[in-house]
Amino acid sequence: MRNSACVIMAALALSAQPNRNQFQLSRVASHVSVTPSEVSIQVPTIRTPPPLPVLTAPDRWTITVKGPGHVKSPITPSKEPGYDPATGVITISVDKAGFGTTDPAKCTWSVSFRSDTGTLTAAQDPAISDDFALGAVNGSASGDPVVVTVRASGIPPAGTVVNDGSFWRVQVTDSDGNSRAVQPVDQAHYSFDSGFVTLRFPASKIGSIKRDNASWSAAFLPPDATLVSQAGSSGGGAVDQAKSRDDADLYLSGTYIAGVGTKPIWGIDAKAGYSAAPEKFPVLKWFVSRSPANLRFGIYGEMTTNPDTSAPVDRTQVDPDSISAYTTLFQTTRLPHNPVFYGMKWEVQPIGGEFSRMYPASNLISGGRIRFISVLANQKRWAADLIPSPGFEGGKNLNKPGTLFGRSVDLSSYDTIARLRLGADANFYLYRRVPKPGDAYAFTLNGSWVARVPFTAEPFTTTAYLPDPTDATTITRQQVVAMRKNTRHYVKIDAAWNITKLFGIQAEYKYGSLPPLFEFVSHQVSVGLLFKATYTGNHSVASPLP
Amino acid sequence: MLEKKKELDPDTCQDIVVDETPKPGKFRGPDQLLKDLGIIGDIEAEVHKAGIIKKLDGIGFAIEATDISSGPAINVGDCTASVLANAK
Repeated sequence: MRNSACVIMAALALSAQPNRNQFQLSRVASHVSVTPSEVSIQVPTIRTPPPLPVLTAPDRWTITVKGPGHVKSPITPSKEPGYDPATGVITISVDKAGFGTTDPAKCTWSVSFRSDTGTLTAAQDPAISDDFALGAVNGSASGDPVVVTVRASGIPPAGTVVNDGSFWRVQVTDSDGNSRAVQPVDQAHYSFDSGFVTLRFPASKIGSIKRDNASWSAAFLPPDATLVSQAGSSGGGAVDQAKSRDDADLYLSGTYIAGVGTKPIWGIDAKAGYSAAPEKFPVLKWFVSRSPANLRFGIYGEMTTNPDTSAPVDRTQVDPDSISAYTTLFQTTRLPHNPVFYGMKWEVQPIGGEFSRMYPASNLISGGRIRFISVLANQKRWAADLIPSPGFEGGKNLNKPGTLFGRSVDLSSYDTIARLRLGADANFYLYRRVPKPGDAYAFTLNGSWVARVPFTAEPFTTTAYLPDPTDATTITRQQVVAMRKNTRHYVKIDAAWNITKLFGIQAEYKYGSLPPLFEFVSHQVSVGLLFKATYTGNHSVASPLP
Repeated sequence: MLEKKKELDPDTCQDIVVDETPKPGKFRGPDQLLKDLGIIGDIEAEVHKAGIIKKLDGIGFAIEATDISSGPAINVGDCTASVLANAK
């Protein structure tokens, strides 16, 4: 049985493995060159191409054009495509006559190439810039010759210009402020497979510069342009866009709630959290000197006002209704290649509290869950994932009030807490036409479901029409608490339209109940403006077990 | 005698970056955004970084998750550059 499982896993892993050495068409460049007689497009490629007679045979290429006007499509190249071995770019030309009055530059282009092993396709991608640009620079800390790697994106100039060392200038500055520039470099090599230029020159050219912790920059100075390298691409600020409340490290939302049987209520929902490796915390570093990779410890707190539409319905003041505080330990793992689950994240809350400010209800809770991450769909403009998360919660009740919501209750049996916690999250992402780091989504939809199955009776709060405690002749809608072992579901759906990077409009739907009193929220819908951000550094805390 | 640790090169880093995505078979070039390889949200980026850290650990290098650029709108080459620059 075990052997069968191993064979299946190995087969799945092999099926998911890419063929790394296979020739690929990267995309069709956005820029289209138009002359009176022909139209040319560029197709960047990676890896070793097939033999030139095969690659440049016009009948192996098919070009599909979709335009604002009538365009004859598909079409074949008007002459042999050209391949530039220095840049990996294929240039394909077609007759201009077939476009009539349509501007070829306003059309959408895609190509397919029939190789001996299969058909390769590529299309234009507005998210990728054609412009040749330099990114981060990294220099070797030791060794001779000095090796400097420069990230180079976009389509480089045709021919061997990019591989000409005389057009490259490298500057290095050590931690003492000593600086030295080198031009030309002895060797320059552009790899279109990796998107890097590797520069080499003798260590003697930088003399006594200390290369440990030195900063490097590079400039590409061909005859008709100047390109200078940029700093690393790890974001520009302390915070970045978050998709939803669950993903946000800092979250503040103002809501206006309207529903049947309730007056409008203004609500505030806020949360904040921070995490780091356990040895980075003042007390924990006494016990842990070096934790395993990807293990994090975090602290977390949240506060909400007016979390439901149940009576009282006329409160509009800003007054915290529930406050939660947690510590958490979590680790993220990438699972071996398989077609179902990409990764796993386990979380343990060694100790946490569930508090309600309006009523003397509080629990001391420990818990844990495992989240399995599965990428369900992955299209050019949209994607979706599913994250099932089995878990547990256990702890102790700290308060046994005799009265809740103005009615007497019997909580004498409320002591030990033990719950099975089953849940799942699903996310839908609609990307911006040109996604940018920190601002990738135009619209997000997040749904989460949690079912708590208590093994011991716990309070469950519902509403019912009952005689008023102060006037038995009057029937009013009241909150009623009973000790039950029923399964408690909680469903939440968030939709967010991101107007800007950090601000948006949100609609939210809630149904179900949450601890400690499991006050039942029935089909609550809210809309509001929101601010949401994540740290650009890795200080996020796993969401508490909602 | 201890063998000197081999320096990382762009190709090795790119292989790690691509291999640790959910869909490495969809790799088409260094300018491709990671969203095309399945890094569609924050939690996928978190798993991606965890995979890179573990893979580097296996060949004797260490890197902080903070120093890895990953996410749906980060391209493969820039993620590779962040790994190349910060893996020690």
